[in-house]
Amino acid sequence: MQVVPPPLERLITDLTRLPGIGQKTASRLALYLLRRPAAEALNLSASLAELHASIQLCSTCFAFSENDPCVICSDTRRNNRLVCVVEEPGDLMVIEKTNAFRGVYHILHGVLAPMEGIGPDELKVRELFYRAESQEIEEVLVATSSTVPGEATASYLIDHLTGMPVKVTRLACGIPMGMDIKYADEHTLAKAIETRQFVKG
Amino acid sequence: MSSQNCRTRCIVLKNTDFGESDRIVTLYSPDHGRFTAIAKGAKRSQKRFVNKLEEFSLLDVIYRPAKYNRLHFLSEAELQEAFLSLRTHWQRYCPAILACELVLRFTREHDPDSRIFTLLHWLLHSLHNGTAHLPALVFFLLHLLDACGYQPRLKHCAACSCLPGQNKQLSFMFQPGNGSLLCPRCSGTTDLSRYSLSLQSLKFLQTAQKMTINQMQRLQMPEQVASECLFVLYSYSRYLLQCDIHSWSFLVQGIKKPISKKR
Ligand SMILES: [Zn+2]
Ligand SMILES: [Zn+2]
Repeated sequence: MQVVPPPLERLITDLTRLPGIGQKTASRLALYLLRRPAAEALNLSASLAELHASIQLCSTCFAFSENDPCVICSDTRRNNRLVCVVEEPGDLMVIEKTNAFRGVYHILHGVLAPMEGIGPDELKVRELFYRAESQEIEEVLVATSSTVPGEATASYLIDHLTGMPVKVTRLACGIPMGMDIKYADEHTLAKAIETRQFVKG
Repeated sequence: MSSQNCRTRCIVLKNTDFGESDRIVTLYSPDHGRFTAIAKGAKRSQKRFVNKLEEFSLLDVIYRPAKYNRLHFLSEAELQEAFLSLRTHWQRYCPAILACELVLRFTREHDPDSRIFTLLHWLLHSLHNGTAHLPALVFFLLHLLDACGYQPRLKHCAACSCLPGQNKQLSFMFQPGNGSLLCPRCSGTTDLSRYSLSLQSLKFLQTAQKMTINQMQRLQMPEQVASECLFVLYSYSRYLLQCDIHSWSFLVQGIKKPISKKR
């Protein structure tokens, strides 16, 4: 006997394919949508349907965008000679939130993960080197995470960018704001000392 | 298994994010073998696990063994060695990650072998200290195969028992399908030229097979010999595992384009 109606079952299965969502959460979400007015579910389905039709990758920085070039790349007030390299579109969003960066971006769409079969060819690495060689940019700021794959990717990029006509910088690594240095781990503290800033003298 | 906390030394082979804030880590320990544990809150917590559960880290952990499902619960981790240069030099990262993948694939959960732990620890340590990575990988893989019961038979031709060099042959063929050698005469029409081993390579492999980790530093293996040996051992491993070893392809790219202007 079929206990769950097939359309509901299908939705639950589809939802479990999303990251971090298991069978339980998927059932809860599906039942929630079912209890809400039909218009809400229709809105959601319209957004989903539009997703791939209206959003593409910017051909310069590889951010998801409605237009090509994206709003950041086409903004004339931004410094397009300073390129910040990030792993994921989500990283671009957090950097934008800081309002501290007025350059443009390059999104790699991942990090070197040899165990998963992800090498430089699977990422937007060649496209970055092409930009660096083009003489159109002055500085590449490598802003990958400070995880093992993030650092390894940074080392790979820095190694290859050396010798190209650009200045290469790396996101600084130090003590989080508001943290007592007694609680900082030794590697972060060592890095903070190593990359200390010049103040006066 | 009791629900009492266990304490062990281990190396992080792999770590993956799980949900919003947790991490799943696969570890190898000398007394528990390979095991997988969940670290609750590891992605966000600033205190307990930050910086510790990264690949290659040598840790002392306390964990609560799983009762029903397979995931153990990691309660504490103390970082012993981070091998930082394995992440800041991608040329060291590639062989280190390959070694972890090989241990992951060749071992089963909770089937401890302290030799494998020692071997992996030695390799990470050597790479971190700048030892040439190809010879180190040859030694590692040769002894890993041995520990797993797949020691390649490299003494003589498997068909006619002639010894390398005995009949003035220049090279022998390795058979990835059964881990043994064939002399040029016995290999006949089967094309094994991809797996040919020069007499020099064969000598190095035979010597490396008999060496202990402490003696390994003395073995000076030319790069060309090391890459020939490594390819043959890789082909054998691939045959044994019957699946792709993903990290291999990136390592090979690195060999082809050795870019190391900066140190
Ligand atoms: Zn753009
Ligand atoms: Zn023979």
